[in-house]
Amino acid sequence: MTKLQYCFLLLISVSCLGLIKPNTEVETKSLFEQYLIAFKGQSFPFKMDRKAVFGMMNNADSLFEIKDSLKIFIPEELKNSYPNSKFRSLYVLPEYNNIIVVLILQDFINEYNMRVVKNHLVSYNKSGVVLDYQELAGVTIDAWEAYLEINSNYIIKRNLYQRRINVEKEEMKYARLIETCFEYTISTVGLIEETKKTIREGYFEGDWTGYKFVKPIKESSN
Amino acid sequence: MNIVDLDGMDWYQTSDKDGNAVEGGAVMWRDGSDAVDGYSNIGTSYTMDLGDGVSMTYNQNTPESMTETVLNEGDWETQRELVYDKNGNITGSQNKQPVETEGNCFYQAGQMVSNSGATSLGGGNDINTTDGQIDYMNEQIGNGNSVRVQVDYNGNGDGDHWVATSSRTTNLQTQTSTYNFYDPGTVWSDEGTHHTNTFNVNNGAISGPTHYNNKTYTVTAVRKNQ
Repeated sequence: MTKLQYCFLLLISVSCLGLIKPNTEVETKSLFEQYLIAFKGQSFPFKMDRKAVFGMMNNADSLFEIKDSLKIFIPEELKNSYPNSKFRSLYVLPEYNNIIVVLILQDFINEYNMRVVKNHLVSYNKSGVVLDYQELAGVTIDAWEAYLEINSNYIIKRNLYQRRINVEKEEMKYARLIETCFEYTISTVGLIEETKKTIREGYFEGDWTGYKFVKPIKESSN
Repeated sequence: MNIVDLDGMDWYQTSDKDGNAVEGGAVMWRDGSDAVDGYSNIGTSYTMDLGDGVSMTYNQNTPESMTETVLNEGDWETQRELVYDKNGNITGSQNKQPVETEGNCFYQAGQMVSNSGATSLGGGNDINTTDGQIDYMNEQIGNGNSVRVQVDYNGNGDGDHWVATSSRTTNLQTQTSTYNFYDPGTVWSDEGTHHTNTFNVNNGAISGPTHYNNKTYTVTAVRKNQ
């Protein structure tokens, strides 16, 4: 190959490289759109009570599993938390200050061989960059349950119920639980911020919607 | 006399000095919803304990349903035991050891039948027709006995779990019955004995939800007692 031919070939190659240089923003956005397609639109107010949480667990296999090529949109810490996790698409919530908000489901077996099903609220910018995430509703049978409610002002409420051993014979018909009520808001930059947290322990009565406080724990049973 | 609460007739129970109804205190149904000295208004319905595990629920003064109980909360048995993390927090439950007995739903459902005073038989004594299952549960509950019931919980048609009947409630208007059951599949007594653990008869099948995992059980067999 002559020097002239070599220079010509090099020029063409460089030109071509310039032409086909990937536009990462466009590609990412396109992938992000693909990612969002599998989420069901959900308006406010939105509630996941006990029945909905157990429905999510019992029907998890019928939900769309996020494929490997789209897992770039799952927060790294979540992906690394339990490598055997399956992630599924749940809901895309109303857009908020140009922030895209979705609920994804994580389903895995933990180190104690218990099945854990929980959903996470994830906020993204328009390009699909993760801004923040927060665990919300979920369940591990016989250990804990958490429910969720979001109102039209994007006030997010999470009620977590953790089991404690009930030693009072006359209270056996009730569940002894620690109830932790969280409240979150989303900031203008997409951060999910805890604004309230209250904790109480007591006896609760369960129904299909959740747990209702009945009475506090006697001092002697603490 | 059947009276609708147009003029506010209600049930009243003796109350303490703070005005709270006293559990086990005298109960009466009376005209009007006004305060009565020494009594607390406890609402429009009341369940009266008739003894021997039988109770009657009234809506105003109309008897609406009768419940015959063959297992009480103390009779519930579980196949599960708690699992803790290294900090002592509850992380869930697992089958007890040995799994052939203590950790087995069939065994624990049989124990509950024993707690009612009956003995559940071994293999080859299953009733597989819905009508036969209903008749047998009715007969045994009428005699004060629980029965061991096999259920399908994943919809594949196979029996894969066992529970024990705990009561029968008969709607006195329609003369139809529902059957409550105790579930050994959870570690918590409030879940295993939950009042919504109920079998209904619909379209030729007996089925109903269990509260601890919100799954629907469909009866596949009823095991005879001795």
